[in-house]
Amino acid sequence: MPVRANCHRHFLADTMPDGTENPLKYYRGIAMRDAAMTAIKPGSRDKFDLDSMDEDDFLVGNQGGIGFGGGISGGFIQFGNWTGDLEQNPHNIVHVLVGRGGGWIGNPITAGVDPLFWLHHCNVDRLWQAWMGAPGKHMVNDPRWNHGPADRAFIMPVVGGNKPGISFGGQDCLAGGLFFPQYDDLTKGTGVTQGVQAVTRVSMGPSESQTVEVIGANAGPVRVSAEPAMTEVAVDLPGANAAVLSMGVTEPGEEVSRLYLALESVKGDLASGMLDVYLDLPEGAKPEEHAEKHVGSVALFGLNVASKPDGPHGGNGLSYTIDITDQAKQFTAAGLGKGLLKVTLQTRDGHSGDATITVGRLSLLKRTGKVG
Amino acid sequence: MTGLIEHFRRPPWPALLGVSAAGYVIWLLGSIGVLPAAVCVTGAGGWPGGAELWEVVAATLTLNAPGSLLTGWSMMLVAMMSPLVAAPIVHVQQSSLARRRARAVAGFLVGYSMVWLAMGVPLGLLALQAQAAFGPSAFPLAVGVALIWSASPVHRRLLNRAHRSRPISLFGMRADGDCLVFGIEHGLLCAATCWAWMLVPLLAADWHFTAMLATGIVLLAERLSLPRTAQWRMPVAMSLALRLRAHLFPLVLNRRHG
Repeated sequence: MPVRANCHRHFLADTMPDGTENPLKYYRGIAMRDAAMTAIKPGSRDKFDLDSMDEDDFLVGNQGGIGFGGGISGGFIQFGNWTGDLEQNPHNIVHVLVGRGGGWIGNPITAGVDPLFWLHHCNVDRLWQAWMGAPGKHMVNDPRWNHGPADRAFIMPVVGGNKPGISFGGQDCLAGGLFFPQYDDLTKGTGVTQGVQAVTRVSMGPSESQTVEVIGANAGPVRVSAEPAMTEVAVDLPGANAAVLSMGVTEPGEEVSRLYLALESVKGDLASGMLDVYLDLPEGAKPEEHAEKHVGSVALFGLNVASKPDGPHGGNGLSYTIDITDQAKQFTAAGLGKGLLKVTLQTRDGHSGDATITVGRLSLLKRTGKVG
Repeated sequence: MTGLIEHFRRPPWPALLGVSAAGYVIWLLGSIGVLPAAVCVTGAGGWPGGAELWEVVAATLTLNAPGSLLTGWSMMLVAMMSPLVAAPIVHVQQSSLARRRARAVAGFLVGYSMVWLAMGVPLGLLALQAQAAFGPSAFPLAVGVALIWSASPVHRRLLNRAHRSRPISLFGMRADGDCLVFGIEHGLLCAATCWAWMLVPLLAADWHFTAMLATGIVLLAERLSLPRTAQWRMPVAMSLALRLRAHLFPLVLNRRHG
């Protein structure tokens, strides 16, 4: 990935327009041009992508386990620790990979004081705006999002460090809000074109009519440390067979399904890290040698905060879903028909070290809707 | 306010609030003699000085049939606790196969109810003891104890633990067992968190229903407050009262001047 080529010139310039030294040139004492080249070394499974923009629904199901937006935080949904598609990639993965070298952006506790944080989050806001403006996307008009987040306040530091900074919420970054910018282009680098519907996947109908149900789960918590950990997800065959049959359906009005692997209540002490997920890995095989078995990675940004028993997540950790619909053939061969899926988890070298990550449960989710 | 309504509009809130309301109504009908349920656990005017606890218990059981006490306590639990189990019920439902969801929720509720039904004995005895020892002062004392308990770091730590979910197995006896254990675990945390407030309606004598309703609201507000660092804090009941005052005062003033 040509990071340096994409590094904005304002971060590389020696001086400001007025000739004074450019404060953006240095990142934690390292010249930005070097920091960008050394800290971000995307590996074969590190993927900044815009797949999340293909998702049509902001929220599917009651808790947001699946969807563009993610789980609803706050007291009313106390176990809602799900990570949304946009939040997972590119949001989390940028935090994890850019912060890997020790940058403030890699830890949710310090991320807000990192200048890159604001650049990154403005881009996330821009992607959200672009997604809402693309046809076929179902944004929710819900005070829980507009007035959110419920579990904490966003505060932007002000120049000079004067307290208390500027408090703002979700709606302040949306159209009509205090910090809503005038975007001159919502197409470049967003994965969607305004006003043009790119049919990348079949519409599953109104979000509120879709259902999400669990059709498989492993036996108990899995601990992953330096060595990969394997677990078996026992699958409910009637549910799985019905899902497989309706996965490729395109006839309007017919039932259509997608399948997701869910990593529930992932906990650990790491501020950030990466967890790679493989399906049907041969016995004793090294995961990194089987890219074809890699079904996804989760960027564990903020695991430390979410795992604290007295933290805002109540120690429930974070939960993730990986859309595995497109790997249907692979996991059908991997044993879905026999009612057993073999899943291997591996922490990424250089991210997690010897730290242990616990996955509370691995489950298989079936999302069902009607072709719209 | 719209955000609040939006939350309560979604499942499982309408059903749980409905069950809770039914619990309050049945309790009320029982207390005015429409339904045959005696629901007062303690004597209204205090006990004679020097009475031993066993004598007070014996007198209570003579005045109130055990079945009636159990019915009264059960209705109190249905009324006050139903809204508190919204989050674990959603967790249990979503963690279970669609065809097993009702069974999973039933398993959770059995475990949860077992704990709370059993808690009726120590809480009842404690209420009787307090009534015997402090007479009419027992009620304000109970409110004071509940407020101090709510402000304490131990209470906050337990409340934080009550936000904890538990992985639920998908198949067979293990799934049933997990739901039952989760119910017991959650019930124990709930009881450990709420015991002080539950004494308040038990000692409220003629104001039992009002105290029960107010306590139910306080317990729900406490449960909905987000997990946070365990330290001495203003009790949720007090911040709730202050917020209510801030909302109600303008209404009262507007009415006066309007």
